[in-house]
Amino acid sequence: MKNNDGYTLLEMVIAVGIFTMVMVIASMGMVAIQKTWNSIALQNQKIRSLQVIDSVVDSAFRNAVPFAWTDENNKSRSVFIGETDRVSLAYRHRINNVDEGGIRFISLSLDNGCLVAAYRKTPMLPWDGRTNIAHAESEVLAEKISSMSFLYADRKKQDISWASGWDENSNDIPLAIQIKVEWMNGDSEVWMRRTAGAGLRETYGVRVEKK
Amino acid sequence: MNFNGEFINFREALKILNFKLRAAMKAKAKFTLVEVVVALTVLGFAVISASAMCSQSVNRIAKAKARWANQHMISQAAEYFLLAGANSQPPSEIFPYKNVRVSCSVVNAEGLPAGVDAVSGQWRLATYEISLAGASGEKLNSLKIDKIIQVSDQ
Repeated sequence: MKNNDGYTLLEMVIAVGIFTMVMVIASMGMVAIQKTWNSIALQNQKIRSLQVIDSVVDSAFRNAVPFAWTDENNKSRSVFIGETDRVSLAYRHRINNVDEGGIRFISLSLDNGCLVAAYRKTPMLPWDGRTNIAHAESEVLAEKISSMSFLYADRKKQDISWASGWDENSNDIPLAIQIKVEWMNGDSEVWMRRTAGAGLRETYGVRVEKK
Repeated sequence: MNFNGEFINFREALKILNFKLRAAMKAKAKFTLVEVVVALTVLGFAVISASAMCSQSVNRIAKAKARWANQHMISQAAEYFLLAGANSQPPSEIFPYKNVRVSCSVVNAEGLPAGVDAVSGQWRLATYEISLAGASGEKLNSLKIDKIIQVSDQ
């Protein structure tokens, strides 16, 4: 300030110019940091989803066991449901308290773009249709999913065959189950787990070999 | 309107504002060049630190994802070999990963107590050695699983 008449126009222009430059650079920096942050958050969410699915297939598929229940006709039938886009099974679970028991029932399905796991302490009966997950505790495992599909392994003679569905009249469960998840951004991942410790020479109980 | 509630013109208002601004600036000490430089340096450090933290986070996320993918692929392969045998090769629908190769070999189990034979009748305690390799053959991961197999399952 050279005199008491205030700032000159030139001083104002220079000050505003410098201020604008600083603000533009700061804004660009902020936008870049924001974009990076969003990218990190997305990646983090994706990894969490992968780990959650990992955990569920490890506990549910690996520990899946055959489980039968009496239907309306007094016939003992397996509660396993193996469809292209849905699976429902019984699996051995750590006993947290006596009321829960050692067997838990889980259903995995796609609901409004979300991979949803529904858990129940009592069997989800196939003959109850889609209403069999009523009163189940639900958990969203992953979001923004475009499609989900399952494959079921069986042994025919010595060869492993894969099918997109499982015979509802079979009392056995598949030797292995694979879930394929496709996200809306084009990513996809598969998880295959053997059930009940099945292996090349091992099965849980005596299986009826299909022709 | 001035502080006494009287209407004044725009020029007078600017003069009053300018007077008050100068009075305020006189009341406080001006910033020295050193102060300005220190302030800018601190600001610069803050921006660089934030940017570096973001960059590190991106790298760590990428590494975590790569580690997970690596472990996931070998788990997927191991599940298949345990189900179908070491001589089989996982089909593309089960092992859909490009630019990686997986193989399994059966070797004698190690570390057995003295006097214990790995073979009993038609059964044998063996080790599945599962390897995951990149497109150019570099080893990405490996896994050893002890398993009782039939002697004929070589």
